[in-house]
Amino acid sequence: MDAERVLTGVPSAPYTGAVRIVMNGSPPGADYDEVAVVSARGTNGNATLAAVLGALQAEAPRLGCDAVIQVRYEPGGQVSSATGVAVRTRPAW
Amino acid sequence: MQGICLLLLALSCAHRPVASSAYAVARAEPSSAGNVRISATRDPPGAEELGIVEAHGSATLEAVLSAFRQRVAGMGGDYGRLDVVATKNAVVQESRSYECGSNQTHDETRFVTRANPDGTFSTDTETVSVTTYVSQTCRETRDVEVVTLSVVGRAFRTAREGR
Repeated sequence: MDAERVLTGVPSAPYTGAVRIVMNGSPPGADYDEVAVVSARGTNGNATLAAVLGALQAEAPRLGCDAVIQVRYEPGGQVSSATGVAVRTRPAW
Repeated sequence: MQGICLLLLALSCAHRPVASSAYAVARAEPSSAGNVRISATRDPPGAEELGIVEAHGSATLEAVLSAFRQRVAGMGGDYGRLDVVATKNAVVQESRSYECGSNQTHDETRFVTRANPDGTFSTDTETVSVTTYVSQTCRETRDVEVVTLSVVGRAFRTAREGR
């Protein structure tokens, strides 16, 4: 697996809860702060939806994020990849 | 398919040059030397939209976004709004040449001169096996699956310093 991120906002302390995956076109469901653009790609045995989205999902909590939104997945025979935006949901006061 | 090696290889590490382009939708601005902030979720409030920018390549996210930033700065922008960040797979043919020589054995006839007991010389022929390496260049074509990462967005100018 190969995952990468480029910061577009400010990361915070690692997050330990569940990370939501929100596919592109779906509403994020809450107000949020953008932290990074993330991408992941898996080859051969890791070129699967579960492995690639799992890798994308694993990037978020390291940045203090609890969701990856605008997720796009590109399946392939020997390599599959995905991109998204790691965000931190704002608390609903 | 004979003669063609149908290996599907994932060249996730084979980074190639990043290409980018831009299309201005406002009057030209001098290039920006400052940092270009990027966002994948929000337009900058009250900013002037300068143009459409794209960057793509079989490269890292960092490299493609760096090219995007440079294009935004080249239009005089200081804020790049990413509208699309996506990957796309394509199968391309790649060719390579490699050394495929081999050892080859052939018979050689040699003349051998010997001294006889009576002081004269006689010349005979003898056949010997000689092995030599014969160089050869082979060419291989294979199908390679490559991932192209592309970003499309807009360049904005938010700062109005010096005006």
